[in-house]
Amino acid sequence: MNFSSRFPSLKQLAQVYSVVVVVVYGFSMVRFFWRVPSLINYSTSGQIGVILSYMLIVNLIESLMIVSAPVVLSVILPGKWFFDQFVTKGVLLVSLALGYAGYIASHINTEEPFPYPLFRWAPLVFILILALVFLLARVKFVAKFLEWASEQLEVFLVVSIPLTAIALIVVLVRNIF
Amino acid sequence: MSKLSRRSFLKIAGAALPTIFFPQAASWAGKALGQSDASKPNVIILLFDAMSARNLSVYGYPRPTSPNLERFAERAIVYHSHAASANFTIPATSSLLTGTYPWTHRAINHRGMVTQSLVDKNIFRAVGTDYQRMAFPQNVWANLITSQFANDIDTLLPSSTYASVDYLKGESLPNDTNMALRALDDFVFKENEQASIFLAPLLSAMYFRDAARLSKEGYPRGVPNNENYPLYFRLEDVFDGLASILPGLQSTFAYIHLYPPHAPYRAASRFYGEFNDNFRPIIKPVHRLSGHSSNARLASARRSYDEYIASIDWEIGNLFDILENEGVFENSYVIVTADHGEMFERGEVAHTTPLLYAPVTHVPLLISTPGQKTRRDVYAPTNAVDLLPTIAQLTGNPIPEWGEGVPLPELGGVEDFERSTFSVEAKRVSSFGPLGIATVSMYKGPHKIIYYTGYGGKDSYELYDLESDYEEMKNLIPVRPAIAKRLKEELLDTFSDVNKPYMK
Repeated sequence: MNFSSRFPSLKQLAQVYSVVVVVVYGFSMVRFFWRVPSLINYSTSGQIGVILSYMLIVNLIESLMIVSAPVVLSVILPGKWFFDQFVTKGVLLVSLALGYAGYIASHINTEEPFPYPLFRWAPLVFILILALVFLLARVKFVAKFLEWASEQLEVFLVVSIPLTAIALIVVLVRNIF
Repeated sequence: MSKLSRRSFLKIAGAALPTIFFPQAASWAGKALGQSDASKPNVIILLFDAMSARNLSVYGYPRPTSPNLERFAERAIVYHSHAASANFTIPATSSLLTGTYPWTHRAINHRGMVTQSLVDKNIFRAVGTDYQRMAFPQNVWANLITSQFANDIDTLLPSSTYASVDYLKGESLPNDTNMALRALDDFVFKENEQASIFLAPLLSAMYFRDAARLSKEGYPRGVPNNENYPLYFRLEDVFDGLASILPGLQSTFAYIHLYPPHAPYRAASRFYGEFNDNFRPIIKPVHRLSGHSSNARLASARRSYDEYIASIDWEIGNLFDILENEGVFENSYVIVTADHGEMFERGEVAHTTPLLYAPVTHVPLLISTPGQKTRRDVYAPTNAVDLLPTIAQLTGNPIPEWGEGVPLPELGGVEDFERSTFSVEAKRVSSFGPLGIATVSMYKGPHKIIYYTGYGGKDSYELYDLESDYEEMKNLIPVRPAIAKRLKEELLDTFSDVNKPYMK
C-alpha cells in the first residue's frame, strides 16, 4: 500500500487548514478582545502581547491537531473514500467537528454544570459527522461551494502564519533565556 | 525491622516527590544543607490564606478553633493588633513581600501585578544572598506575585507541589512561570471563560473527571481545592510535605503561603460538625456595600470556616511537634500570619468586598524567636508592611529605604501607639490610575477610621474605638467630631499624596 500517494498536496492542505484557522483563531481572538478591557487595568502593552503570544501558540497546536484528522483519514482510507475529495470532505469534517466543539465550549460557564453528557456523546457525534461528510460531499453544489469558500479563506493564513511565527519566537525566547 | 508509620512514610515520600518532579528542589535542598553558613538562624514564614484573627481562639474567639496555635503562642511574641494591608491575596501578598502599601506596589486588581519599579525591591532581595531563599506559594494568586520575584528566589516550589489533582499549565514553564500562568491558566484555559475551542474543553473534561474520581475519604465536604484553579490537595499531604523539608533547613528564608483556610471550607471528618453548638455571634447591621447574605447563610459559612480552621490547626500542631523534636525552634524564627482575613457579618461572606472591618483586616501574627520559651504580648498596631524591615534586620541586613513599614516591636522596633497604618481596597480601579473607587482604613492609637470613596453618593466615613468597641458596632463620627476631623484630615492628606502621581 502506498500511503504517501494519498497524502494531500500543500494547496489542498492549505485550503482545509485555513478553515481550521478561521474558526480556532477566530474563537480565541473574540475571547481575547473581550478580555482586553480587564487586562489593560493591570498589564502593560508588552505583557498583553505576551499573553496574546501564548494564546496563538495554543491555537497553533490545536489547529495542527485538528487538521491532522482529515489527513489521517485521507491516508488510511481508500483513495476513493476520502483522498479524491480531500478539500470538500476535509472542510466538511473540520467544520462540523469544530461546530460541535464550539457548542461544548459555549456550555462551559459558571451558570451551568460541566457538560459531561456532551463529551459522552462525542464518539457518536463523530460517527454522525463522518456520515454527514460522506453524504454532503456527494451534493455537487455543496462540494463546489466548500472548495470555493476554503480558497477564499486562505487569505487568513497570510495573517495567521506570520503572527504565529512571531508568537513562537516570543514564547521560545522567554522560556529559553 | 522497625515498622514505618504512615506519617514517616509520607514524610519520606513528601521529600522525594518534589525532587523527582521539580529537580530544583533537590538542588536547593543540597545547597541549603551543604553550602550555607550554619550560624544564621532560619526565618520561616507560615502564611495561611484568609485566616482571620477574629476566628482564632488564640485571639479570644469563643469557639476552640486553634488550641495548637494557643500552645505555640506560649513560646512566641503575640501581636494583638496586626493588620493586613489589603483584603484579598494579590494586594495583601504584594504588600507583605514588598513592604509597601497597595497604592505604592499597584497590584490592586484581582490579577494585578507589582509595578515594574518594585520587582527588584522585595523581601527576598532584602534578605540577601547569604541566605537560601525559598518560596512555596500554594495559592496560585500568591504565585502570580511571588513568581515576579523569581530572580531573587533560589527555590520556587510550584503551587501544585503537594496536590492530588493538578491541571495547572503555566507551572510547567519554569523560566516564564508568571506570564505563562497569566496567559494559560488565567486566560486561555481558565475554567469558565476558555479562549480555546478545542484543547481547553478537552483538558477541562479530564480535570473534572479526575477530580470526581478523587476519593473524598476523610473530607465530608469534599477534598480541599483551589477555588479558581485546577488543583485539589489533602491537608495531610501538604503538612507532611512541609514536615519533610522544614527540619532540613539551614540559613534559609522560607516563605510558605498555604491556601487553607481559604474557601471552599472543607474540614477533615474529625472536625466536621465540631461546631454545631450554641455559639451565637453578635448580629451586626447589614452594610449597604455588602453582598446582603442572610444571617442563616453567614452562620452556616462561619461554622464551616471555623471547622476548617480547627482542621488546619490540628495539622499545625502535628507539624510543630515534628519541628520541636527536630530542634527547628532552636535555630529558627517561625512566623505564623495571614495575608488577610475573612468575614461573616453585616451581610458579607468572605473577603473580596469593599468592607474593611476587623474580620477582614485583623490577621494573626505570632513569632517564635530561636529558643524562645515564654510568651510576650504586643498590643501596639502593626501592619503586614512591617514584616519586610523586620526580616531584613533579623537576617543581618539594613532596612531597605523603599519600605513603608518599620521593624516590629520586640524584634528591633518599639511599640508606637500613635503611628498610622493602613489597609486598602481598590480592586475596581486601574493599576495605572488614581484610586477613584476605594476603601481605606487607617489605624491610629485606639482608633480606626474607614473611608469609602467612589461607590456612588457622597464619600463616607466610619470611626471606631477598638479598645472599647472591639466589634466595631458604634460609629463615633457624630460623637467625637474633633478626633474624627483630625483623622479624616490625615487620611485625606495621605490619600491625596498617593493619588497625586496618577492624576492627569
